[in-house]
Amino acid sequence: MRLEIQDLTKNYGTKQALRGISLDLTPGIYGILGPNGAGKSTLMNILTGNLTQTSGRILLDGQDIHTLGASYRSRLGYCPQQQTFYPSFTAEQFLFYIASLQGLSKNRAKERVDWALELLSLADVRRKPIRSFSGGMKQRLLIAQSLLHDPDILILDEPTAGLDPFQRITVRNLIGEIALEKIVLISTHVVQDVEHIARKLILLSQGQVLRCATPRDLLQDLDGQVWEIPIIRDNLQEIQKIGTICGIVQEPEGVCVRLLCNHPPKFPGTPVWPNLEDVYLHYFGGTEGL
Amino acid sequence: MKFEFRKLLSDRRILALLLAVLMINGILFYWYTSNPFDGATMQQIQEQYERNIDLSTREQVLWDMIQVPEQLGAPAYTAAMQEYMQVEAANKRIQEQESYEEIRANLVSQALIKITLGLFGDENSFSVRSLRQGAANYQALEGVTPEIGFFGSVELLTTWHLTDALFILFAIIPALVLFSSERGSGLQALTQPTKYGRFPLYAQKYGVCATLTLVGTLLLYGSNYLIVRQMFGPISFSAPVQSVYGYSACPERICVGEFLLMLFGQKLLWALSCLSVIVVCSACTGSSTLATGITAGGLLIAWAMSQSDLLWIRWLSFVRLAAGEVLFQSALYLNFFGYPLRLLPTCLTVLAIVVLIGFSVGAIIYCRKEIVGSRSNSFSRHRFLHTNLMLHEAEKSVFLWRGLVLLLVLAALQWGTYHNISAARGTNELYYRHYSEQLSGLPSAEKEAYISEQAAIFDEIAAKLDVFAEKYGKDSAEYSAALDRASDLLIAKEGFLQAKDQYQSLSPGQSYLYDTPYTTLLGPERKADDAVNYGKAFFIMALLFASSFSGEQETGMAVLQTSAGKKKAIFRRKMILLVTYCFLISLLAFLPRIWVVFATFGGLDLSAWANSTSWWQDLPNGMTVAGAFTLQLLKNFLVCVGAGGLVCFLSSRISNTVITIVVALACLLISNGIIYLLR
Repeated sequence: MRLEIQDLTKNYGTKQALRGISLDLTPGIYGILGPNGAGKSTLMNILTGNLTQTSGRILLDGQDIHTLGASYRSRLGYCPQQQTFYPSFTAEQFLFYIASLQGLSKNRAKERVDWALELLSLADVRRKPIRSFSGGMKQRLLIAQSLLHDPDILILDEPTAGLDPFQRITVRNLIGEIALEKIVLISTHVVQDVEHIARKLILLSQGQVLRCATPRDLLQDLDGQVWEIPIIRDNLQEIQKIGTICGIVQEPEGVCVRLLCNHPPKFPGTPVWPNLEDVYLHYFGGTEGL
Repeated sequence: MKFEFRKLLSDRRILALLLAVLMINGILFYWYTSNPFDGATMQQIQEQYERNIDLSTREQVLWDMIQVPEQLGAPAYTAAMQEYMQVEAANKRIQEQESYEEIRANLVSQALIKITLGLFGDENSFSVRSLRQGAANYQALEGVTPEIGFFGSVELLTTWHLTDALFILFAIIPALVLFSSERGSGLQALTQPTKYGRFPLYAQKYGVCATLTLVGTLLLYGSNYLIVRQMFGPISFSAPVQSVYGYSACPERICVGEFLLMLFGQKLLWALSCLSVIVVCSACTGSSTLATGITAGGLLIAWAMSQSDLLWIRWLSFVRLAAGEVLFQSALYLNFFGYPLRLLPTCLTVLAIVVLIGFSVGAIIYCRKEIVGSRSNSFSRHRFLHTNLMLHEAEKSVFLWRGLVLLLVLAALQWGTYHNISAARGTNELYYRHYSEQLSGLPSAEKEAYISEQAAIFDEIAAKLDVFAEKYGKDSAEYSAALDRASDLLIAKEGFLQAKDQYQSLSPGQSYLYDTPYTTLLGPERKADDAVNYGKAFFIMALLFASSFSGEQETGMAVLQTSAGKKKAIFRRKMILLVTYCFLISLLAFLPRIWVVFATFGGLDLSAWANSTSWWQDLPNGMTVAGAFTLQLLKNFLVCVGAGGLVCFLSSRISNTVITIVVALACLLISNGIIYLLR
C-alpha cells in the first residue's frame, strides 16, 4: 500500500497554506510536527476530502483518491481535532451510526463497537448520553469511531488532546500496536506522542516540508548541539543570546540550563543527547510564535 | 435513516414545537369554521339545507321584509336580516348546483362565440386554441350532474391557507437541523470522510426531511378533515366536484373524493418542492440564520413572482401554487409557443421538476462544497483593538449576529413595499384634496368666506341649469348642452361638499386635516398593514437575537464570561443592544409607511389636534398629531421590545441557535397571524 502526495498546494486567496508538498507514505506511523498555521490541519483536511487542493495529486496505490471516491474513504479512518458529537446520542449509538456510514453490517458493527469501547475504556458508559462525557471521554470516543472499520489509512489530528498521561500512553501504545499494516498520520504538538512510535517525522512549516526523517536521524543531526550548563541566575539573560534555551532546572547553586547552540558555549557545560523537543525548538523555536 | 430520525425526534423541543403547531392549526381551523361566509357561518348554511322549505321563496319573502325596516322594529329586522343572509348563502349554492348544465353550456357557447367573432386572433393563435380546448373540455362534461347538497366542508378545507404556512415548519426544521446545523458545528467534517458519508448520507437526510413533510401533510390536513367531519358530518365523496360551490367551472370529470386527493397531493408536491429549495439553502451554509434568511429571500421572490403580469411567472410562483384549489376552479391555460398548456398538469410538472432539481443541486452542494473554509476572517481583519465591553457586544451584534445586514434587509424590504404608493384616487379625490389644501389648519373667517363663495358658485350653476330646464325642458338639446358645459364644474361639487361637511363638523380647537392620508394610515387597511409589518419585524428579530445567548453557550464563551465574573455586565449590555435594535427595527418597520403616505398625499400638520381626524376622535383635546404618531410608534417599539425580549429569553433557555430560530419564528409569527385573522 502506498500513499503518494505529489506537489500539493492549497491557496486561500493570496495566502498559501500549502506550497508544493510531496510525500511518499508506506505502512507505518508518521508524525506531523509543526507550529500553528504550518498547514497540518489543511493537509489532513485535504487527505480526508473535507478540503480540495488548489493543485497537486494524492494517489493511493497509483490511483487518484478523487477517482477512487467511496472506495478510498472506506479505507480511511479520521479522528478530527474538533470534538463534535450528537449530544443526545449514547456512545454506543454514535459508534453504530459511524459504523453505518462506513458500511459495516449489523453483526460486524456490533463486534467492532464492543471491541472499540473495550479498547478505549468506554464500555461502562456505552449507554450514557455523550453530553454527560468529560473531554477525555469524548476524545477517546473520537478515536474509537476512527478505528471501527479497521481502516488502512488512519489520520489522527491531535488524538491525545485532553487525555491524562496514563490515557495518553495507552493511546500511544494502542496506535503502535495497530499500525503494523496501516499508514498512520498523527498531527500533534506533543512530541512524546510520536517520539517512540513514529517511523518518520514530517516537519512542516509555513506550508512546506522542512524535513522528513526518522527520529533518530533528526536527533543525530543535533548531536553535539545540546548542552547542559549550570549557571548563576544573573547569567540567564546573557546565555539567552548564545542559543535557544530548551529547559531550566532549579539547583541549589543556581540553575541548570539546557541550551541549544550550534557551537560550544562560553559557559562551561556538558554536551547531552538531544531529544525531540530540542529538534522542535531547533526548527520552529526561533522564528515561529504561538 | 433511523439515526437521522433519532437526531430530530430525540430532541423534545422539536417534538413539542411540532405538536404545538398541530394544536394551533386545529384550534385556528376550528375557529375558521365558525367564521361567516357570505354573511353566514357554514353551520347556519347547513341548517338552511336541512329545512324542508323552498329557499328561493323564503329568500324573496325575507328580502321584501327587510326593505321596510320601520314595519319590523329593530330586533325583528336584525333577525330577518340574519336569516336572509343565511338563506341567500344557501340558495346561492343550491342554484349553482341546480343550474350547472346551464353554466356548462354557457361556458361552451361563450367560447365558441368568441372564436366565431374572430376578435382573438387567427386559427393558430394561442387565444383561439385555448378557447377551442376549453370548449372541448366543457363539452366533454356533458352529462355530469352535481349533487344537490351541502358541501361546505370542502369549501372550508380548500380555502384555509394558514395550514400551508404552518406546513413549512415541518420542512424547515429538519432541513436546518440535519444540514445547516451539522455543517456549522463541524459534524459534517466527521461524517463526510466515510464510505457512505456523501450522497448516500445526503439521500438519507433528504428522505427524513421528506418523510417529516409527508407526516406533516397527513397530520395537518388530516386534522382539518376530522374537524369538518365532526362538525358537518360525512362528505359525499362520490358526488361530482362541480357540486361544490365555486367549482362549477372545473374542467375535470372527477368526484369530490378524487378532487380532495388530487388537491392534497398537489399540496404535498408543493411542500416537497419548498423543502427542496430549503434543503439547498441549508446545505449551502453552516449558519442557520443565513439559511433561514436565504429561505425568506426565496419567499419574497415567490411573492414578487405572484404579482407579475407575465402568466408563466405568476402561476408558477410558490406563493400562488400554495392555493392549489384555484387550479381546479376553471379551465386555465399557459401559452407555450402558441399552444395552450393546461395549468394543472403544467404546475404539477413544474413542481416535480423543482423537487428533482432541488434534490440534485442540494446533493451537489452537500457532497462537493468544501466543509472547511479559510481561517482568515474579514471581521477580525478590520476591527480596531479596545477593551470596552459594550463595544465588543455591539461588534458581535453587528458582525456575528449579522445585525447590520438584517437591518439593511428590512430597510430594503420596506423600500420595496412602500416606494411606489400612488396618490391617484379618482376625480372626486382630486377636488377634495384641492379644497382640503384651501381649508387646512385652524378655522378662520377667510376660510368661512371661501366656503360660502364656492357654495355660491355651485348654487349659481344649479340655478342656471334650473332655468334652462324650465325654459327648454330637461330633454332638450339646449339643456343637455348646458349640462355638458357645467359638468366640469359640477364634478368638483362632491369633493367640495365632502370638504365643507368636514370643515363644518370641527369642534373648537380642532384643525381641518386632509383626511385621505389619515384614512390610508389609520383606516380599514391599518390592522392588516400593521400585522404584516409586525411580521417583518418579528422575522428580523428572530434571526437577529436567536444567537444572542445561545451563541455564547455553543461557542463555549459563556464559561469564560462566567469565570471572569462578567455575566451580569454582559447581560446588561445585551439588553441595551436589544432595546437599541428594537428601536431601529420598529422605526424601519413602521415609519416608512407614515413617511411615504404623507410625502405622497401631503396634509401633515403635526401641531394640529389629533382628534381633528375621525380616526382619532377618541383621543383627548390637546393631543397633537405629532403626539399621536409618537404614541403609536412608541407602542410599536414596546411590542418589538417584548418580542425581542422573548427571543432573547428563548435563546438563553434553549442554548441552541437553530431551535431558537424555529421556536421564536413559530411563536411570533403564529401569534401575529392570529391577530391578523382576528382583525
